[in-house]
Amino acid sequence: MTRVAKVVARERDALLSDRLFRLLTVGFPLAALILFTALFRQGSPENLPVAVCDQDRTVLSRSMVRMVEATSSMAVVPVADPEAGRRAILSGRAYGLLVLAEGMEREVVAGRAPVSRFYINNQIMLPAGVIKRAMLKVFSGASAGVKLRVNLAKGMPEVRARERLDGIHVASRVLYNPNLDYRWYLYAAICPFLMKIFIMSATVWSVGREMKSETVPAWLRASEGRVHAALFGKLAPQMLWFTLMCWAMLAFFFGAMELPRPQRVATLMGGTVLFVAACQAAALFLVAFTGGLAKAVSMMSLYAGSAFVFAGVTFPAAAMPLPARVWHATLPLTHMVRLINEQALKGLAFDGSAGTLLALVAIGLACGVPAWARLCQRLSAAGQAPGGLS
Amino acid sequence: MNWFRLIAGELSLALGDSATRLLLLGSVVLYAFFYPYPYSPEVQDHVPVVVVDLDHTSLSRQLIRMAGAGDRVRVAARAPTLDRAKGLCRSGEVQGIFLVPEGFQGKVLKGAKAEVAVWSEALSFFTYRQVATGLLVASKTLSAGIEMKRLTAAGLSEEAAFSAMEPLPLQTVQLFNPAGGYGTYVVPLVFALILQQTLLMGVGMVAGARSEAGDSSWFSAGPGLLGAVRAVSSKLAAYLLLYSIHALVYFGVLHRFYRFVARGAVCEMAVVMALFLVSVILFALTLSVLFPHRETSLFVLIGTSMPAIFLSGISWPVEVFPLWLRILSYGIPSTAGIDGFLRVSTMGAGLGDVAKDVAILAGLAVVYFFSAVWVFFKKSGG
Repeated sequence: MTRVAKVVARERDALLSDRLFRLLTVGFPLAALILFTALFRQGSPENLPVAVCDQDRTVLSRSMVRMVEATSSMAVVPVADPEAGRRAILSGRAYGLLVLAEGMEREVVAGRAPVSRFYINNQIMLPAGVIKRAMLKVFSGASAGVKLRVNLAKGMPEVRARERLDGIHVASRVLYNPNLDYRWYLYAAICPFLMKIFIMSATVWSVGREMKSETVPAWLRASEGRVHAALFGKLAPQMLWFTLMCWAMLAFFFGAMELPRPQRVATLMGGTVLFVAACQAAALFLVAFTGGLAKAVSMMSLYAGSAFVFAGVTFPAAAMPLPARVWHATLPLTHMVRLINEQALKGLAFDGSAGTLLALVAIGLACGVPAWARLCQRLSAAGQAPGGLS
Repeated sequence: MNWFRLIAGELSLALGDSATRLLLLGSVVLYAFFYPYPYSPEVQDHVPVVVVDLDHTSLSRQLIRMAGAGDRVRVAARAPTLDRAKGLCRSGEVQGIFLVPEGFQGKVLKGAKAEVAVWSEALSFFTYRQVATGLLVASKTLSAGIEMKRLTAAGLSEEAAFSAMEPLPLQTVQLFNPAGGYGTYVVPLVFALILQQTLLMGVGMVAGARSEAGDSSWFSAGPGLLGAVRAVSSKLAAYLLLYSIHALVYFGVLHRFYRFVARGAVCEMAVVMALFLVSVILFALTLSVLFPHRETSLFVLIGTSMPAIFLSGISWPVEVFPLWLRILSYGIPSTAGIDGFLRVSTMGAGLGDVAKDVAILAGLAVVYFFSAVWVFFKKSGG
């Protein structure tokens, strides 16, 4: 125990003296969480600018413009003509352009259906989706209003007239994220992604720099020549620290970000420990089986940096080609995001997440066991080098 | 030393070392295929849904057939009750539920209010959109057909029936990415980001390796401020030359390889890309003094890709940013660079449309030129 304690004490000294190590373990994770918390202060984007070209200028068209303005998602940017609207889209002053054609009110009164056009900048997909949903709602509401008035004018009883509004009514409900809250969807995946990067970076740096700067003998002296104690003493404090950070992150999700808290948090908390361990194991694997620190960190930037793309958050894994799905399955982030979804959003019991937890264990063992064995060999060899253990 | 020799020397230094060559050449090539690969199908189709048919009539069966006939969803299972269907959703076997309640056909035939219910899973918003839209379109199509028949039977012409069904129709036109392809949206953004990130890391790695070796001559090409200016300008030219080729391959060749629509005028794209690359290189040179070891830049910058994407405003709208963050974000070249370049290249905007981005990039280039000269001057003992 004292051997491990000595290595832990050496790590504490390293933390105090090594600025990069401090940044990777404390500074960067906190800065990243603060940045994304500031970015996601709204669960769904509000007041997205939409250019409106009212060529009709009647009571009806003005009321349509007011209805657009009244939505929380959109803010009206009046434009004089469609060309000005097009320029507003191209320059980024608006995400869409609504054109209310001349004669709209007249056509409606005459019983003809004038088509209004809504041009959306679909190259910026997220706001495009938000304003499309909102605008369709505005127009279906307005259409329903006109139909109701027409039917009432025909002498139809109000109950019957209201029944006729929809044809077949579709009661649409959203499962697991009823308000389509982007914080539950994106923020809750981005934060573990960033944590994964910092966990792996800290592991690669703390082990790799010992080899690079040939301080392995000093490291092994602290553990009295025991390589297992040396590795354990180095990795355990990091594991504990990052687990605490991830738990704090989850507490923040359930508090400020209003993510539904699971009835029993033990599965999620335990899974978080496995996630941290799996990330450390993957990092250890890269250090153990690559030639030097530069290569290990390059490989790590490929593996950890691409994790968000392959984790299936923004583009579902089910739609990816098979090799991409295989890569997806090897990433701890994939399973951590799934665990958060299963426990917090779906509210599953422990059994429902057993597969996800096992996947994290499998990644940890598949990377960790060979990495540990290989590192033991390399550390022993480095310790016996000239200037090594005396 | 001759200024052109300085450029050749920098290129030889950066590409002569295996680690920096891997970053400045190898990763740029690898990432060009690695990152777009998962998005290659562009859209998710035939998302599995479960059907709960409590009506068991010809109309309910027709509706279910229509729901499965489109590209968006497929009927993967049938469940006798809503609870069983929700169980399938919880286990992840299906991503949506389509319920036709008992008495559905009877209500439709009587002209009473008939309702169907859709539950769409929103763990992924991409999947959610496919399920919700697919099932809504099927229901609305059936509904429109029935209402048409009813109205025409009442003596209305087809045109009048259409008008009566939807007096204020809205036609949505999806510009620039009409099919809503995810790759079409995200890959050009990722390409621009790869250029920035590999430059920042690569230049940092070259500088870190020199600092680690105790060689401060990398930061100077002669005495005084003039030496720093010569060093900065020659390195700027060297990396600009290298990355102009990368940019040409990314946006000239690979764009066509991936069949993305290129709407931009070549000259305008070149102007914005050149300004972007110049400001990134000068930013990288300014930061380079911070990296004492060859690997430091990678450790420091690996976590910055995701923030840079979000701060560009393409993934998350800038209207949501707090003001202080919006202002700070302009200090990173990718904020104006990605926005400006994508508007020109994928949307066909002119330089006048992206004047703000161009002005910011030009401003950053000037500021980072002076900052790079200053830190080089200081580092070389000025």
